[in-house]
Amino acid sequence: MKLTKWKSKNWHPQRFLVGLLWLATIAYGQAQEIAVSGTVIDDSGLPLAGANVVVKGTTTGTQTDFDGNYTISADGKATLVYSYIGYTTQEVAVNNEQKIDVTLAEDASKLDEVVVIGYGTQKKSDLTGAISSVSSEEINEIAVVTVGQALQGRAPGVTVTASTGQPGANSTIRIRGVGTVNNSDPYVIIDGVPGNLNNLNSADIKSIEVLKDASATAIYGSNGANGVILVTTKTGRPGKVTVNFDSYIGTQERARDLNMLDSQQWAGLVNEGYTNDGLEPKFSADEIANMDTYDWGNLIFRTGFIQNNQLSVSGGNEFASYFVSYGYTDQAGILKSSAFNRHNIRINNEYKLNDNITLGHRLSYSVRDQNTRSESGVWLWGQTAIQGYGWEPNIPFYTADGLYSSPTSVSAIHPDAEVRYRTNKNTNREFSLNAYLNINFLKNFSFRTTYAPQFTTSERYDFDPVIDPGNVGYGVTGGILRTQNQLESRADQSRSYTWSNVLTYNNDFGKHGITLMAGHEQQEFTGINTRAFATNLSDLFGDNVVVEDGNSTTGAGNRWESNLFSLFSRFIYNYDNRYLLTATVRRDGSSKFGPEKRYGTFPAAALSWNVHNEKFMENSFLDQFKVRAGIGEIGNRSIDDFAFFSELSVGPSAGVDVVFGDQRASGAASKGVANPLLQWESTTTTNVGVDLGFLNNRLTFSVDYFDRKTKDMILLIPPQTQSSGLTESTLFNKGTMSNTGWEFALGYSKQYEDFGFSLGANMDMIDNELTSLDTNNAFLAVGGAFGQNGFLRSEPGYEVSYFYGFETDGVFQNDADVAAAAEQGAVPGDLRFVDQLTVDTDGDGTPDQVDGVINADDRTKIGSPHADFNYSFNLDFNYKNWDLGIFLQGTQGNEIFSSLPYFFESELGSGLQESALGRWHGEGTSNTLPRVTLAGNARNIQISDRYVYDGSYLRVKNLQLGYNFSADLVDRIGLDKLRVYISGQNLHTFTKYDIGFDPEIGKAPNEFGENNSLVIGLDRGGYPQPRTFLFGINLTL
Amino acid sequence: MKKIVYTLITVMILAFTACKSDDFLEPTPYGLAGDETFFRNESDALLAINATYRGLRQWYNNFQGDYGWGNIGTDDAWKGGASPADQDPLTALENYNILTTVGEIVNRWPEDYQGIRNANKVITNVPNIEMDEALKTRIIGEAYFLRGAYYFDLVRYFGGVPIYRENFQLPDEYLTVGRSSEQETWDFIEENMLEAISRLPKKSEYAAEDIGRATKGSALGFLVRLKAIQNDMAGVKKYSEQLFALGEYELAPTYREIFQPAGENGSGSIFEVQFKEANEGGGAVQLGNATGHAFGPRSGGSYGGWGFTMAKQELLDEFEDGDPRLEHSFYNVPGQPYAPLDGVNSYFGKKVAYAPYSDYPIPAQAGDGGVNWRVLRLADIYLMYAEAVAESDPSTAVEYVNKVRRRAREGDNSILPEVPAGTTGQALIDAIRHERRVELNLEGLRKQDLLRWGRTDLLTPLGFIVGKHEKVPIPQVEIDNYGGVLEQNPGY
Repeated sequence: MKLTKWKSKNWHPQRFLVGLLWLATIAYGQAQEIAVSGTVIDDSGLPLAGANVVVKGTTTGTQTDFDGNYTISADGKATLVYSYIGYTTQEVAVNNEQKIDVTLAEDASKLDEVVVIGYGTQKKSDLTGAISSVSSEEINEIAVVTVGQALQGRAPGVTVTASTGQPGANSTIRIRGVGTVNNSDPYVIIDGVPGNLNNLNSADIKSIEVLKDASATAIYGSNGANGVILVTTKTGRPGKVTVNFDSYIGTQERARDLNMLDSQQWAGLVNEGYTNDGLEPKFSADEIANMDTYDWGNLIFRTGFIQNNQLSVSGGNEFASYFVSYGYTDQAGILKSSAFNRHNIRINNEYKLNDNITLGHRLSYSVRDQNTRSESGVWLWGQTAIQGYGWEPNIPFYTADGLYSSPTSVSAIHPDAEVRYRTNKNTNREFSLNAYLNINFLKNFSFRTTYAPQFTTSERYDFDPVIDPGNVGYGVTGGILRTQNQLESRADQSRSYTWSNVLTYNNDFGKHGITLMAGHEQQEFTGINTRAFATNLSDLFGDNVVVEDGNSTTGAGNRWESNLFSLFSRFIYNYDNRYLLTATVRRDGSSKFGPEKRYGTFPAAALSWNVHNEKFMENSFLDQFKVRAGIGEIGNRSIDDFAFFSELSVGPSAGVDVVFGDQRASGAASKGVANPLLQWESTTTTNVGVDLGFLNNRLTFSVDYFDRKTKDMILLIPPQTQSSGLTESTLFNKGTMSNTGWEFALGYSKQYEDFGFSLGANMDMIDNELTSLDTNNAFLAVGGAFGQNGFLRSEPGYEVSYFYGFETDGVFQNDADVAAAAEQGAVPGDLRFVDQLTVDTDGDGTPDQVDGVINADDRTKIGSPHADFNYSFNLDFNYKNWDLGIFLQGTQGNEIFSSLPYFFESELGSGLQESALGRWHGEGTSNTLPRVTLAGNARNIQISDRYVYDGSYLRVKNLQLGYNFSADLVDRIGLDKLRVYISGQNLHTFTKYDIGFDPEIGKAPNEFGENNSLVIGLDRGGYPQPRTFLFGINLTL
Repeated sequence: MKKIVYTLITVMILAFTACKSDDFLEPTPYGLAGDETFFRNESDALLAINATYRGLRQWYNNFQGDYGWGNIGTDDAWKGGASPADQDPLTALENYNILTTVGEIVNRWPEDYQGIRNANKVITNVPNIEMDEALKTRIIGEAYFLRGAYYFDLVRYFGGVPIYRENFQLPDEYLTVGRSSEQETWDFIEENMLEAISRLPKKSEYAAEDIGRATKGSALGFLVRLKAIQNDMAGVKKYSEQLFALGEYELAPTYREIFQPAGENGSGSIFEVQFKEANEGGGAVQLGNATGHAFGPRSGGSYGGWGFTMAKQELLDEFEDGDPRLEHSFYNVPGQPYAPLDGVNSYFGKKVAYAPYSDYPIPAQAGDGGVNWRVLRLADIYLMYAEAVAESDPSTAVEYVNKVRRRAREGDNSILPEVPAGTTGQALIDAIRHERRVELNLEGLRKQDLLRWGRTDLLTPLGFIVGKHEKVPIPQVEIDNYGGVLEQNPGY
């Protein structure tokens, strides 16, 4: 409300713009110049359409037309700069010539590539910060439906892990490690405006820049701490109409099955367990002999399907350019009824009102539909993908009456019923407009104003059918009974806008080049959601029921709002292309924080030295030798709106109501305590890097070292002091975190006459440490699996979320073993827990002796989800018309905490894996797996290193073979280009992790609640990533 | 020069926008804000006290209720369920293989403390609200009662615990307070109940829509139970007699009706936790509980329960011939997957059952059953009173046992003969304890009774270790969080 007042009374954007237009008009028409024209061609003599021609030291410029022709007004003594992406920039003095033809040479180094740096662009060779670029080709090489997944392995220091293989799901993206115990997701900017990678059509992307160090991200101030991903979408180029059609179609399958025991083997182990417990065997020999084995695990897997079709039309002339695209992606997941599809429309147009004023818009609309399968809870039974494997193998799928069977010992929904009758649908629609006006004036100035509103709606539909044994075929006993169906329907609408104004001054004074930028930006995010709930709907399995069909209905909803106001400035100084300095500062005011702590200032500076441009390097074998160094402080404000208030739990679904007089009596309780002094956490990054180029820049090598320190961490304190009675933690600025690491990138390419190849390799090594917590809490504990909690520990002096539990040392073989070991209530066949040093005899503060008893004090660090290093290789070959690409990606030295051994190696009420046969069953039979038992299992299933596995892997992410039809053939059928290809993804994974589907474990999906970004490296059997085979076609008209 | 001027103008315009950002950054927080603006009026006070009752629901909502916790691990009940691994925290309670990380224990501790926190808020804030004075007094009385009740739950399972008379400002201040002794915790509970008694109305003084709130009698009843656990028989006598003096209670005419919908909050009911089938879906919106499912048979028509807490034969054998309470208490559904009996006699309790084993309908959703939990009823007080006066006034003790037996007899004088007048000494004690076991079967009192009677000899064959298993361990996660401030119970 206050905002409206402010807009109408105090502030008139119209006046502001009119004033600036007036300024621009003054600038226009000042010069007295001659007209220069000519043609720009490439090495092979073909005209270059859309090449830039700029009068040096000014912003005056034009682009060549379809035939490579240009005309420009310039002072007779000026110098013209000719540039084109992928070509070496050339400068030519006009010398009063009226016709200048130029040949541009291809540039292997791509150093002249223009890189987006946030509120501006910079030549790659001028960069001072740690920025990685990912090209459109790289993003589109792999058939994935969300852009995040496509970034995996593409840039050093950027770790992408799939949290789940669910069609259309998010990936976990971490730039230079886990920066905070709080939200560690990078900030995503699409064409200058905050956006959502999931709604983006990857075919529309021209490039992605990843800003990694503080000197690069400080321009985003309080949003920059976790790195920034800048996406630039395609635009049209002057020249003839280009039509692109890209399409692929393929199948998907489960990459790995689990080796389960057949009924006879399984029943044998169950009987052994009963015998071990002193009970009668559960099954008689006759029963065992007559058992059939049912492959429950496979029941709901299928061959998936994926297709993607992209059509774009682009072109333009000297007054206007356009890029119009439509994309359709459709995926049927490998689990029945899981699916994803998305339609994208984009219109990116630009209009030149005159030489100095450009008006443009980027308009996009997307509709995303997702059908998901459950991946919730700490038990196997909420994980649809794997729960079938947990069924006892001797149970037939259906009863003799054709009804669904029930498990005898556990509580689970029949997998087929789960995928057939339960619906979890989500539809998301996003409309975004990004309109901008760019004015060049006074030769050296340009002003850009951007207004970008965005509207998103999302609808959720969760339907749970009747579950009633003996009724309508949906028979389940034990634990899950619902005699009425239920529907929850939820609609979210969010609106936001970003308005930014950026003024840039750019000038050269001899060897000194200066770019000065100052800007203002404001963002507003508001939204509302409404939820409705109904039970007892008339249509028992209804796919399309609505809440009003229900008998008993309730509703709920909420609203949110947050605003950000920013001022920022950047100074770039270039001395003779040898010394480059960038300095930035941003001041942010955010409504997410209380009035006292609303504003923050984030400065950064970076220097780089192009050593290869020095005189003494003239004859060096080095084509590029650049040293970069930068430091900056940035913020993280990604917390909930109004987090500095304490919120009340109130309303029927808040869990605070009670009953009096047989009626609902409403209650209200606060969830936590408020902290009005909450402020941003801030991260200081120091970065040093070297870029080298040899052999005409065909061989390049970059190395970066960074030191990233986070302080005033926004820390949830703490749900763990349960005696405080707090149900929700309070956010405080406490604790520090450190990430240091190395990043390497290597590239080599060589082209012979018919044959060429290129090789790229990336690697990063990141050391994470929680350096302090600064509270009475010694550590934070999260994570849950099979009823055990808090075994992912974050403790000062260690990496975040290390695994905490008992260390084991084999299995007790006999009574003498048990007697010889520390007291731990074990019998032969039980795990031997290691008695850790817990007694401090000499009083030096360090325990130096064991206490002879195994208890909770003997738990220790048993593993870490953090990799020693991540790496990837990219190999591309071409021979005549053929091309072959291989992409490998891997991690080394990380560990996985797998909950699966609990079920598949010890829980006799569920299916068992073949590895369970290796259990102890008499002296000398096993020194790794304990005996099978039901009554005595509690001891052996405690959190210990038996659940910790080596999670290293190397994956063949992609193998692609393509054929380009020859130019004359393509010409004859009226095309510019025609390529077909086949590709296989996730073809093979080299790993020792074999108890689960997949060693790639990101942040736990659907993990809600406190510190959920700390729940990493935990495998509870989620939706696995598929293996994909594709056939595709690229066609240009 | 001109350039510089224009640049300055533009910068000034930008600076102007900056000045106005303060309003822009003052958003409207939607919904009800927290403590800062709460506790303004009568309605807030009511909302706050109502939420304070919520934790009681958690006790009796599921396995961790007394029906599981108080019965399993005694000579009265088997764990049941699908297998030993099903709800293994209960397996741990059953065979006394209790680890400090065992699941249900992890839940009970925080739930009690949430109740305490809410009660503290009411006690601190409601006195400052301008509102109807009588209502204000009652609400504060309810808060004292509930604070006492939550500490009572803590002390009987965990022993002495950290005591907070008011809430701290900062969450980590809680870490500085260690455990009080068991005696200190008892004293604190008594103090709270006495504060409650001085403020609360009698049961009959409540309007119909307030049935279920704490009463003077409820607080006295808790004091009787507290004193029994302290083995302070003079205290039991004193508070029982104060309770009787209220003139509010009499035994319900029949035993069966106590546990039917019609018997909820009946004449003998001193305190009940109120449940009701909300039928509005799953999760927190529910106002019912899951006990009917948790403790109902896994197979057996349309019931579809989870099969926990089955009566042991020893408990059934305790009943005298022809005692109608046997029929009102148990039903047999053979063929349970894990009933380490003979597989034939799988007896479940009717006190938490649904149709056809009681008049309560099976709720549409598990977890939404409408069975109130009868926390304290007059027969329980009678029998504790009988214990208290058995030595000093045996004839009164005999009379109070016989009151219970007379009701159970349902008019059939051929069964359940009177305990003879003049019975004294061990015979009287035995008669009282027998009556208690039968009358209050599966109401979750057996373990506490055996402990206060010193009859751990009946528990040791099950794995009970004297000096350890009188208490359950404080959740390991909490011990860890306190970093040494909180001492674990002995033996764990």
